[in-house]
Amino acid sequence: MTAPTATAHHHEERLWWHFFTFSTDHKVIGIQYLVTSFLFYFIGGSLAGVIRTELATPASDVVSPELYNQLFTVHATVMIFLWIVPAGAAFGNYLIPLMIGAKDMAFPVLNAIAFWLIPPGGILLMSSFLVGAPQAGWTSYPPLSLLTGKPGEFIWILSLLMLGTSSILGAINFMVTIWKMRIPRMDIHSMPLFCWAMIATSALILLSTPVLAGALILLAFDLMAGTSFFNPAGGGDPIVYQHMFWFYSHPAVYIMILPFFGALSEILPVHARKPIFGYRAIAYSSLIISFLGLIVWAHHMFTSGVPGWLRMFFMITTMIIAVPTGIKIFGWLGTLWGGKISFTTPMLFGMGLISAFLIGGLTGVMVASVPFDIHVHDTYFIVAHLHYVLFGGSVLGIFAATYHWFPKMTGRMYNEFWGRVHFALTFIGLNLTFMPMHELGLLGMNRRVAMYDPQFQNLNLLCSFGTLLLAISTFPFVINMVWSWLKGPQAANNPWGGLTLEWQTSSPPSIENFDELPVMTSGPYDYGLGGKKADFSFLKPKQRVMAASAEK
Amino acid sequence: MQSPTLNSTSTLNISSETAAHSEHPDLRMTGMAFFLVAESMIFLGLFAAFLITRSMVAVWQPEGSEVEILLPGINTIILISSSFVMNRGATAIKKNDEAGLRFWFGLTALMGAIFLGGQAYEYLHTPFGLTTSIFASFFYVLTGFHGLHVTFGLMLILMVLWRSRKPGTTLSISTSEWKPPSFTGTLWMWCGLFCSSWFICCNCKVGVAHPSNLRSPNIDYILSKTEIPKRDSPSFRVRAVRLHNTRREVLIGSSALRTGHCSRNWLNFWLSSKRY
Ligand SMILES: [Cu+2]
Repeated sequence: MTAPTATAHHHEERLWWHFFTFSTDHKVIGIQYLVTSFLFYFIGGSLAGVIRTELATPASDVVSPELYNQLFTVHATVMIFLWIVPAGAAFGNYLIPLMIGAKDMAFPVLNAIAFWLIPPGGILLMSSFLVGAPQAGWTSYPPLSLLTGKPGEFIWILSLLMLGTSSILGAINFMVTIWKMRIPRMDIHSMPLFCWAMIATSALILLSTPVLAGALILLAFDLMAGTSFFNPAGGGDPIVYQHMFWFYSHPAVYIMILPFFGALSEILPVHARKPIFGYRAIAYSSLIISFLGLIVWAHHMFTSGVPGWLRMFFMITTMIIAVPTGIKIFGWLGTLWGGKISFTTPMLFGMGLISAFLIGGLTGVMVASVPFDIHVHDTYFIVAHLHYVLFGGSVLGIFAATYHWFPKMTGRMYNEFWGRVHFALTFIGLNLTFMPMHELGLLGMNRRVAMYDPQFQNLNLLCSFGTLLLAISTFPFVINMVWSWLKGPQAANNPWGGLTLEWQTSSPPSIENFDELPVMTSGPYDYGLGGKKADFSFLKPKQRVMAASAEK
Repeated sequence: MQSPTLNSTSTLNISSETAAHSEHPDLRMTGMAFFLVAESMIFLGLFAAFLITRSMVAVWQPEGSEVEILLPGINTIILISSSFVMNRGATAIKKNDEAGLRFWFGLTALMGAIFLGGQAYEYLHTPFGLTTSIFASFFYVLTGFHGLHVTFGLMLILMVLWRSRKPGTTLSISTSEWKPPSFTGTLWMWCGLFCSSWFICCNCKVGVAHPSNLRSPNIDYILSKTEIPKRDSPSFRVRAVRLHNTRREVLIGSSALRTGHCSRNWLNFWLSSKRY
């Protein structure tokens, strides 16, 4: 029997099979979330691959139009509900307790339940291919969704209700943990910005996801019990569904992007060795984005026949969101300005995020304008816009965060060269895939069609070639991650010279995170303000993989 | 200059402030509060759907869907007053009065059961079924969803009562940070709140936004078109599966916008919001 001393924790090694159990340790759950969501990323990516293969030619030659409908419906559902949203929860789970100096989340069992709703929800969704997957798009507008195959649609609803419940339970946990479990000296304004972002995200989840659940319950009654809440044939109004759906699904964009805005605010100061520029502005802008995000939903419905005053209102609120988002972007640029920037993989992905998201954000302001939106509604311009936001924003953010915290999570260092190769391929592939779509949309190519006018073929081929690059880019990533996790060099406890609390413990952290209650000795972003030692160690890559014992 | 949030010192070491490995305080009430926020949003979403739909139809309630006021009214009053009864139970706990706890919580449970019984009775005697009309559908789904929450709350109350069979319960409850009765009580009050708002929504004839405000100008026209416009494109089948708002979009003339008349019409568009 080992005595329960501080060193005893180090000997309680995490074994590989712990990750397949109902563990209540937030670090295990965080990694479970992350690995699961990456698996679904590859599934959703494969679906996208089939879609782009089909679209390489104008005719419907690879898959039937019905199958094509199923593919884009499941692609979007997987990417949103099983990839980006859970990936945000992954970093929330892993990082929040470490960043605020807590031993675990407020409700560890609830946390495990939230995670274990995801694999069954995902498998359920994929199983819909056996009975004919849903075809109505991830928006699932009635009456279309009531006409295109009951079993697939019902499975889709059930799966979304499970994933939504998981998301709500996670959000409760994040809220209470950040609110109540910070170490005594960490007041709300010395908390890392990632925690602010997770508060904003969780608030959105708590306020908007239930409304989607309500809409889905009513839709399920329409589908299975013959009611007509949304069915015009029985006196219902499909527009009500659209309102309820977008009341969730616009905030869902922020649920998907805010955690990675938060992660970016952590990553940039560390790799630029500068304090974050405008801490409070970035922190509060998250909250403002959350609030505004709740009152812009009908910008998705400008062509649904909503009255004029409503369109005007939603156009204005939508455009106002550019202000807090711009504040963040300028905050990040101010952080980079004059910094000792080190082009590590997380930093490259972080800078890629700023530039790609900027394009998505600007096209967002364009489509917020009613006349322009009517012009491009349901065309590839929208597809381009949303992918610049979600791929250029969220996915690059996930990669940045994965590389940045990889040494902390695994205790190993990834390979920097292959990380950079991964970034280059991803960034080129991203722009090649989605940039031509702007042009396609302006020329009038509709989205969600398996066949298109032959005049669009050249641009479509370019998009499909970009997708091929994106597919290739996952190989260096997966190989790098798996190999480094198993055989990579031992990472130092604080390989980047970070000041937030997660870097003040061992890599990977012991079971209870901190052997002693951590104490804040500096603000989270006080780089270059006295802690010079951290700066120099950071500049020498060899220090990153120093044996952990040498730091003791 | 970016000011450090704390006075910075250069050490990065973890210094131990206290070695106490105490567990964190019980946060379940806080969690419950956040959970109720989420639950309220489901109800608010459903209410909004109900109110908007209601504002869209010409005649309310639809024929054959008249609801009684008396029985549901009594039921609502019972449920709301049971929250006050329960509050007496909570006071009894503070006073360490076990008989009071059992009496007041028992009475609350009884009132909750009467409410659910009344609801079941109503379900069996209403002249309409789930799919009779859109009102009927909303009636059953909303009251059913609420009834589900009351049932859950009733079970929690019974659990508190079950715990109180042993002597010394009040003391153990009031000293522990985790207070099942306050947890239950919060849910219970919340049920009463939503019950009463549903009752008001359902029976109050005024106070809803004027239909023409919320109603989309084109909806009657669009709904009267049951057929998708025919096109000679080879991808007609695929287009047919596209979302119905394409149809709306075609009908409201945005296809004309898209083919190049767009720019000329912008000014008109801004000036007359009703045009499209
Ligand atoms: Cu939106």
